Amino acid sequence: MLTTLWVLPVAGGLLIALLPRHFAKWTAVVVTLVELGLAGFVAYSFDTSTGGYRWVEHVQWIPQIKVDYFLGIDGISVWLVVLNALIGLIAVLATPASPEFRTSRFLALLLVMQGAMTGVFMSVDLVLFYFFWEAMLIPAYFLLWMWGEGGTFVAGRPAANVSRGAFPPQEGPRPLFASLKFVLFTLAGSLLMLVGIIGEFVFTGASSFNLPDLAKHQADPVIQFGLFFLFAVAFFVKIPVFPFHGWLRDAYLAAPTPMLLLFAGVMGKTGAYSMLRILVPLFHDPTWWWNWNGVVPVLGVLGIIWGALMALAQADMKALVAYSSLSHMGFIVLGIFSFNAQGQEGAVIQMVNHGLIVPALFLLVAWIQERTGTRDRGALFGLAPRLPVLAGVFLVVTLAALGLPGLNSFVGEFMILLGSWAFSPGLTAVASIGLVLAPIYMLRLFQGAMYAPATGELPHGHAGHQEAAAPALVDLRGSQLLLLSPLLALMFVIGLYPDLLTRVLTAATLGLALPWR
Amino acid sequence: MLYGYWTDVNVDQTYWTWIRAGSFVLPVNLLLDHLSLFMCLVITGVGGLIVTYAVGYMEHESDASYARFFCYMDVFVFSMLLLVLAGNFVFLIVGWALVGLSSYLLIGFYYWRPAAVVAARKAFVMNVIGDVGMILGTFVVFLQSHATTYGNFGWVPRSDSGYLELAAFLFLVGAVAKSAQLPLHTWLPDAMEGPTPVSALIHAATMVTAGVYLVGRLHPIYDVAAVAHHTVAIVGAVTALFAATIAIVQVDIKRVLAYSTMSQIGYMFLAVGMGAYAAGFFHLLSHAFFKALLFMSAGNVIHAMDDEQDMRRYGGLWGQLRWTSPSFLIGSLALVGVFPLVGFFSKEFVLGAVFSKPDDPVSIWVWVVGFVTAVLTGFYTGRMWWVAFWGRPSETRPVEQPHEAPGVMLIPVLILALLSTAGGLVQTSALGFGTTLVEDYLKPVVGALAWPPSPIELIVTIATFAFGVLAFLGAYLMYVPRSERRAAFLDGVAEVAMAQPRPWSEQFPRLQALLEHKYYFDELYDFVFIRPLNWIASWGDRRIDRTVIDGSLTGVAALIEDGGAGLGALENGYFRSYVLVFVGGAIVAGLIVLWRAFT
Repeated sequence: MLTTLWVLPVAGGLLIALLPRHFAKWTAVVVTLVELGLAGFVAYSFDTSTGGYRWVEHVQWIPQIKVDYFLGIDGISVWLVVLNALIGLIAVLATPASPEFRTSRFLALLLVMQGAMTGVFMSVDLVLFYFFWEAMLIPAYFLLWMWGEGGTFVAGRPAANVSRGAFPPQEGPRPLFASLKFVLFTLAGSLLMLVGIIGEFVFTGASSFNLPDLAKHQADPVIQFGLFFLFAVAFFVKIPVFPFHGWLRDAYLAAPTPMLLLFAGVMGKTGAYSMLRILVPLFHDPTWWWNWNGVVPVLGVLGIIWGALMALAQADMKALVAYSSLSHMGFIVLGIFSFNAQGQEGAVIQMVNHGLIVPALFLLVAWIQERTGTRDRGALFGLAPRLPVLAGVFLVVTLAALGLPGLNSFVGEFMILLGSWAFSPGLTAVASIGLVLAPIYMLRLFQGAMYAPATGELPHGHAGHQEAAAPALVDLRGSQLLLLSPLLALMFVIGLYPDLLTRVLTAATLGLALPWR
Repeated sequence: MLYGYWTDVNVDQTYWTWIRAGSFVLPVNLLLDHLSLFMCLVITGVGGLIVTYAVGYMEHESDASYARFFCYMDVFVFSMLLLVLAGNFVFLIVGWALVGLSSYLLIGFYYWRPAAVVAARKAFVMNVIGDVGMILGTFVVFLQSHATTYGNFGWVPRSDSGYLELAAFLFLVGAVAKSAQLPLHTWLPDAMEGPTPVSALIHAATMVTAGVYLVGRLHPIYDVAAVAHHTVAIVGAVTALFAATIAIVQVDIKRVLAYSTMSQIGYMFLAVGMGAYAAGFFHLLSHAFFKALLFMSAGNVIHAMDDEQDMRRYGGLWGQLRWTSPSFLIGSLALVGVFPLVGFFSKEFVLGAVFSKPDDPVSIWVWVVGFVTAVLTGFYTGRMWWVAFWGRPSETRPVEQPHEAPGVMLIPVLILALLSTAGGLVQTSALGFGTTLVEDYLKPVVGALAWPPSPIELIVTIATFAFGVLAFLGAYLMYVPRSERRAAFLDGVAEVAMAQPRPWSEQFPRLQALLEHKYYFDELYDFVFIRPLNWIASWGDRRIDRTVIDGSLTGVAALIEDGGAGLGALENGYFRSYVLVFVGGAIVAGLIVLWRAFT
């Protein structure tokens, strides 16, 4: 079952690459639909009575070095697998089908990336995990570079700036630079992690690379201190955690929208998931000069505040959403490192929430750009009367993103802060400033585009003559609304009935909650 | 619902489990007791009248806006009912935030007006500060007492402690933000950008009184946490006085009413802060009547005046608006606290109870502030009334012959006028005898007043009343020019009645400027918070994020670019080197692991 979950998208991707392009999109839709169905089935049939891994597949892979092919799903990974499948389907549906876009190649890479991420969420063996971790990077690199804004396969844009002129190009879109920066940065982290994996095996005296097994063998605190660092940097870069987010602006700005959904919605989660899966159980006490377990939440809080501040400063709506994502990921890190059930469950809920909200925001920004030709916050205003449906949907997503109680994000942030309050009230008080900054930048984004500008009234009279001087814009199409509707529905469902997630989580997360201090 | 009046209702019903995480298990439960029923009656009763009124008021809007308006109003009523019916802290916060959301949506209803958009955002952000306070308060309660639901507050310890004070203060942040008390008050006057029925329902009668409800609901905590409890009273008293002084100089009729609302909620805060819960809630009820009446009458006037809100441009409306003018007068007199209108009974109940409170060093000072505020209330209400309705029509008045509002807008106003006139009869304890229906009704939840009335309470009551009325009449002398007075009106006291004191604003221009700028709170917040925030954000973006954080990476990337160019074709160069590093690393790693496995 679990092998099918990751092989299916990869095989589907390879198939699409071979098929004529007319079939590409529909094949991809079928593959991702089946993937979602399978993931949904796994989640639906999930036995909540006990903890531990389900659907385990465990065979020897490289017996000489004790590496196993070991897949398993527990209450944490199941939701991320479902999220990955859902966002994958939406990303495929949002992909334009046109010859100049090279749809079949795009979708092939996209599905391979999705399959690799599924593998990351299911691996129990550390080496297998590393394999998937690296595998998802390769399609991401090509997608960013070739299809990025200004890239080779983007219609109507010059494929210049690849090899001419200054490097990095100072003006205009720079997909090559962005993809390179992302890959190199991530790769640096991965290599450190590889050293860490070996070190973990060498120094703990464990007889396998299985995570549960490794967790039983705790190394000396000083050794843990070093190993923790090697792993943490890889995850910090991937999430990203302040101040390792240097790649974020360029990569998110360059990323083509369908890829960005998976990139921002799910790939960042692999880092957070790995923190919960690897950093927390494997290193109970990474202490030498200081304790890493106390450093990470501080970075999380710095990320919350810094992301929010940077979001305030962005004129480009896509960049604004990217930095809001940095802020939200800070909450997740804080929750994981609060070392209690509330914080860690909140973190998992927030991973899912963020995976629902950020794709919706990026889609909406892309659609606004498609209609108006710009995503500059300063250039847009007064779209609400011209795009009423889009405005309504945008409002709901905005409210979810700023953590309105009753919608999903509130649940995660509430639980995370509850957990971290038990851990450190002072830190939590600082983190809660992020809750106050969120409505400021999110409402700037929403109101700036939708409502009156600060400098004058909209041409909108008393008696309803709404036809403005501006040309008519096409409101959200039915298909686009359909694309968003599962995300919107889940925002409400998780907001009102989070126990849907937590009753599966409780058994799993409690096992990870460690008494620190 | 009225059924609850005669029996002691206390229903706590659980529907489903919201979340479970370790020991934090939260049910979705609703609590129906006398306090929530009381609030429900205010919300649905006054709310029903206001929504009916809005049917007429919003008639000129386009179809889409009309539908949007009533949609938002219903969201508000739902949220407010959720707020008062919630049986646990989390759903209290959900209701709390959703009323904030509906308030945001309705303030920004005219989204084509820049001022409305800015005011809406300001209200939202201020309210989120309150929400954060509530959230943190919930954490404190849970971590110390393991309580997530009210559960009749059996978990509150008997003796005061630091954590209880902390929780009480954090909840107070929420109450202060929602009820527009100092220092989180600046959003309420700006909220008047919303349509007038919204001002009547949300920003006068119901939502802004949620802070009073919160203190009443959590009174077992505040009864023990003495410092926080006194802070509630002090915040209320200071806000009451502060807002009343600003109301004196405002010229926009809705803003006068907005500051008056702040001031009256201050009374409620000082009542519940002194432990006179029934008095606070009676004033809440009474204020809902007369302030909704005032706002809706003002809405009629604004409609008649072609959307003009500057009351200096009205004048002489008495007699021209045959129903609205007397309604506005009743509302004004109730606000001043004139016997036997509802405002008299509620305000005197509050002040009397505070005055009589024994063994409390704060109570007498709170009372003094309340008394001064009552006099100022008489003055600014008088100014509003005389300037807008009396004298000759202003030369710049937009409409010569104003039209009275249609029936659908008049009938709710008249019903509220009736309630503002006779509503005080349900609780006449300010006079020392008569009915005590409100007090009896709320007794099962908030308990009875813990101290007897002082022997001189009635004298104090009469004094407050008298000074309030004198201030109201004094405003006549100051604001109605001698030439416009109708001599017949005050025949008996012609000598006094024809006096024309110099306006105080001419004598104290600096004070006038201070009040007109609302004590410079907006400017202060702009200077201390908003500008630094924007400055730090843009400075950080340019100087740190794009240079230090990004630059470290760019430098590395450019370095490898140079190396990569040397390797061969540019595009493949990176990837090849990437694979090279990867494979090389993997080989080294494999060797080490092999070595480890075989030794």
